[in-house]
Amino acid sequence: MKDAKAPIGTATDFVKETLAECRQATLPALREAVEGLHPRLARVGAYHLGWCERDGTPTDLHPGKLMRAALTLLSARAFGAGTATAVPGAVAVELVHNFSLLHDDLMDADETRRGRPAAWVAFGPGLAVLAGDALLSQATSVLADADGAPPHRASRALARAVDTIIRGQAADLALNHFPVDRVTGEDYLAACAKTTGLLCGSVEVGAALAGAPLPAVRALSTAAWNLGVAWQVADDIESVWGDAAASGKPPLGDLRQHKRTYPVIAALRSGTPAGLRLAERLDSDSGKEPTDAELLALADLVERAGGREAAERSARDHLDRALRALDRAVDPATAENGLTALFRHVVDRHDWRRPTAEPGPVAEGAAT
Amino acid sequence: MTTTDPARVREAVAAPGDDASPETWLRYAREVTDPVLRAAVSALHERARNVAGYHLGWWDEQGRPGLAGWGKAVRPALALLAARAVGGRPEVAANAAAAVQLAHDSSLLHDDIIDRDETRRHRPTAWKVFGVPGALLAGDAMLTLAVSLVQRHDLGARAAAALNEAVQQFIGGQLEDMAFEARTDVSLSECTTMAARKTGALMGVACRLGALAAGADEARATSLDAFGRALGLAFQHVDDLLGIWGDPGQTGKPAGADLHARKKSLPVVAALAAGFPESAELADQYARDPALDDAESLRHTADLVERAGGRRASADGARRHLAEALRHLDDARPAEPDARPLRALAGWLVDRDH
Repeated sequence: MKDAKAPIGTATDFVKETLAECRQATLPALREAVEGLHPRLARVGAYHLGWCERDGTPTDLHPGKLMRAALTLLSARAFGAGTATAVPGAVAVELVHNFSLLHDDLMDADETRRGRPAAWVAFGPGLAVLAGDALLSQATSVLADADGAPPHRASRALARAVDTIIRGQAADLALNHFPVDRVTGEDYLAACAKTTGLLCGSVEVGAALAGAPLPAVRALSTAAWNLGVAWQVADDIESVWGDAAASGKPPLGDLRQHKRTYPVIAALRSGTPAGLRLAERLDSDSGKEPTDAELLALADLVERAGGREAAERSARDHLDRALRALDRAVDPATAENGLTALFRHVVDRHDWRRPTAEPGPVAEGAAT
Repeated sequence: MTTTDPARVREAVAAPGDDASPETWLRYAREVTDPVLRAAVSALHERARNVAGYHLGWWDEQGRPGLAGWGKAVRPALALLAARAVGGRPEVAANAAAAVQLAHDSSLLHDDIIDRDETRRHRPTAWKVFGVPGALLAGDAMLTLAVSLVQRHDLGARAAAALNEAVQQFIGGQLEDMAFEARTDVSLSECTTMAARKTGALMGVACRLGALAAGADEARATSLDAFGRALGLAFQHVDDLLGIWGDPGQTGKPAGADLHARKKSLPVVAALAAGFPESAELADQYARDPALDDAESLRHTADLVERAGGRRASADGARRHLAEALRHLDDARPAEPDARPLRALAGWLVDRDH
C-alpha cells in the first residue's frame, strides 16, 4: 500500500487537508444550490446541513466532512479533470446524500441528527418530505447543467446511485422484520446498498465528468462498493464495541434496537453454542427495554460466537479489495492525489480495531 | 388491462384519428402509457414496487389484480397530443408521458402523507395501507424513475432540466398551499400563482416533453409549455368548482369535502376577497371549528361562496385561461389537422363534470 510507510500522523494530516480543500471547493456551490430552493425549504435544508438554527441564525457547527464530495473531486482529478469541472458533481452527490438522510430519519423515526433535533422534528414531517424531494430534484438539475452533452454519463451514474440507495433503504426497512434465523449475509449486503450506492455514485460521477474510460470507471466503482461495505461493517463493530463517547452514539445502540448488524448475523450463522443462545435471546424478545447488563451479555455472546472476529476480517478484506480495485482503476501515481489515503481513512477513522487502534478523529454523525 | 384477445389489444392501441373524442384519446393515452409504467415500476425493489402498484391501482392491499385505474391520464394525453400537434406520431412521447405521470404520482404519494389524507381514487391512501416509510420511499423511487426515463430516452439534458424545474415549482406550490391553510388573508393573485405552480408546471412540462420527443425546436416546445401551464390553471379552477359543487358519485370525494377541510381553493379565495357581506359571513364560517360542520352548514357555506361571486369568478377564470392556452398553442405553429385533438382535449377538460 502506497502510504503504508508514511507515519500515521502524516497520513491523517494529509487526508484532513485534502478533505478540507475539497470541502472549500464544494461548499459555496452547495450553498448556492440549497439557497436556490423555495425559501422555506432552503431553511430546512440549511438547518439539516448544520448551517443555521431553526430560526435561521447561522451556527458555528462544523460543516461536516463532505466525504462524498471529496470522492467525486478526487476521482475526477485522477483522470485529469480540474476542480471546476467536477464541482457540480460534488454538489449533486452531497444533495442526494442529504435528501436520503432527511427522508431516512423520518422513515426510521430517528429524532436526532448530529446532536440536534432531526429536521422532521424541528419543522414537521411535511416540510421534511418536501425539502428532501427538492434536494433530490435539485441534484439532478445541478448535474444536468454541467453534463450537457450526450451520453450524459454523469447524470446516469447519479440516477443509478439514487435508485440503488432507495433499494438499499427498502432492503434495510425489510431486514429487521426477518426472523433472526433467516437473515443472511446477502440480505445484509442488500441493505448496505444504502451506503455503498452513493459512494459508487460519487466516484462514478467524478470519473464520468473527467471523461474516464469505462473499464476504469467500473474498477473505481468496484473499489467504492468494497469501501462502502468495509465502512458499514466497521460502523457495526464500532456501535457495539467502540467508544461511545467518541462516536456520539448511545452505547450498544444497535444491540438495543435489535439491528441485524454484520457481527450479529455472523454470530447467528456460526452454528456455535453461543450463536444458538444468541438466537434464543433475540427470539424471546419480551418487549421491555433491556438493561445494560443484558446488552453486555448479548455483546459477549456475539463475540464468543465469533461475530466480532468475522466482522473485523470482513472489514479488512473489503478494504483490501477496495484498494486492489483502486490500483486497477487509476494510475498509482495519480492515486497519490489522495484517493488511496482517503479510502484507508474512511475505514480507519472508526475506533473498531483492538486496543492498538490509532486514535481517530471524532466520528461524525452526518457521515453514516 | 386484463384483456388477452390480441385483436382487441391491437385495435385498442392503434392511434385514434383527428376527430376522435377526448375520451378516446385519454383511453389511448392510458393504453400506451400503462406498459411503460409497468416496465419501469417492475424494476423497483419489491417493497417500493408493492406500494407504487397499489397507488397506481394495479393491485389491492394483498397484491390481487385490481380494477382501479391510475387516474384520468390527463398528463400522458397532453404529452402524446403535444407530440402529435408538432407533427410527430403520438407514441413517440410514450416515455415522456410515463415520466410525467410518475412525477405526478410521486407527488400524490407524498402529498397524502403531508396532508394526512386517508382516501384517494375511492381507496385508502398508500400510507394508510403500507405505513409512512413505505409510501415515502415509493414516492422517492417514482420520482427517480421519472427522471431516469427522461434521461434514458435521450430527450436531452434540457428535458431532464425542464422536468426538474417543474418538480421544483410544483413543490413550491405545495408549500404555499400548506401555508395558505393557516392564513386568513390569502389574495386571489397569490392563490392563482400557487395553482399555476402546483398544477400548471407539471401540465406544462408534459406538453414540453411531448413536443421535444417529436423533435420540436425550443421555441415551439416553450409555446406548448405555456399552453399546458395556462390549461393547468383552467383545470384547477374546474377542479376547485367540482370540489364544492361536483357530484360525489363522479368526483370520488365526499360532498363539501374541500369546504370541510377549509381549503383556500380558487372560488373560495375569490369569494373571500370580493368584499360582499357574504364574504364576511364566509370568513366567519371558515373560522368555525370544522367538527361543527354538517351537511346543512356545508350547503350553506357553498351558497355563501356562490353569492359572493366565487363560483362565477372561477367559471370565468377557467374560460379565460383556456382561451389563453389556445393562443399559446397557436404560437407553437401547430401542424393541422394534427393539433385538433389537443384543442378538443383542452376544451373537454374545462367542461368536464368529474
